[in-house]
Amino acid sequence: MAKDSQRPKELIACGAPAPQDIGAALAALSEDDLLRLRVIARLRARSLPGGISWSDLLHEAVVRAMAGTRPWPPGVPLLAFVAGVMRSLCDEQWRRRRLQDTLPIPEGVGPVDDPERVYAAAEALAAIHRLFASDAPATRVITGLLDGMTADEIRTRYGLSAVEYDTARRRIRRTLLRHGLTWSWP
Amino acid sequence: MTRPVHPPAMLTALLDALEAELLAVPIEEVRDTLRSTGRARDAACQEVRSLLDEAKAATEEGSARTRPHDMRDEPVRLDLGLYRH
Repeated sequence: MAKDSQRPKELIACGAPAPQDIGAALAALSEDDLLRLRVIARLRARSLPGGISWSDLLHEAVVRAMAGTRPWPPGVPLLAFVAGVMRSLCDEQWRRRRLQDTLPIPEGVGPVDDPERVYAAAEALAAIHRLFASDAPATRVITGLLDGMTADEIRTRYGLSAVEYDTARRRIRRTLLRHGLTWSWP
Repeated sequence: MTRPVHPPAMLTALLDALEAELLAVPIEEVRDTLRSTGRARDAACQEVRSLLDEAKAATEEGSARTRPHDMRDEPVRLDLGLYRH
């Protein structure tokens, strides 16, 4: 698209130039950046309660960024910044959900121990495992990622070569993207 | 070794890893997969562009208004708590 070539790409690649320029930087996003933003929003929205859509999540993240309630730190690429805002909004939504439902939270229990959240996450994990039930290398990689392991740790733990690991990661990405990053939980 | 099973933390770890990949993966991969789902790239981009424009308008509208967000006449988006924090 001709319009894309006229956009100041440096605004996207080099992080935050100035807080007030975030609107210009968003307007300068290329179509490729928009696609990335879309799939990341879809990814994050799947872990949200109450049927909040990916577009609601992205919309809110952008509004907060533009309103300055979530400042864009210098040096952080725009997409990573917006992705980070969406990530923290997800945590916030679970807290709000808990407060709105006026459900009791046992003393000393953090937000990630919310029973509904635990249940939703367990459902999601089960659905993801089902997606890769017949793919042993992918299952190993996912198990490692769920444990917060690095790529090296996963390769070492499961005896995967670099090629096997990279191929499994690609299959995981493609499968999740093909499923619209949904894994069929309610 | 027995590790504690904590689904939200595990899911977060997986989502963080996937997000990092999606930020770095060659865009051709995203495009190819989009094609395989039958989703038109232009339509997908336009959808996000419209959403960004809508967010920009909402920000401008929000800064001009004195009423809080949840008193708007016709909310166009699910209330995620804007301006309450």
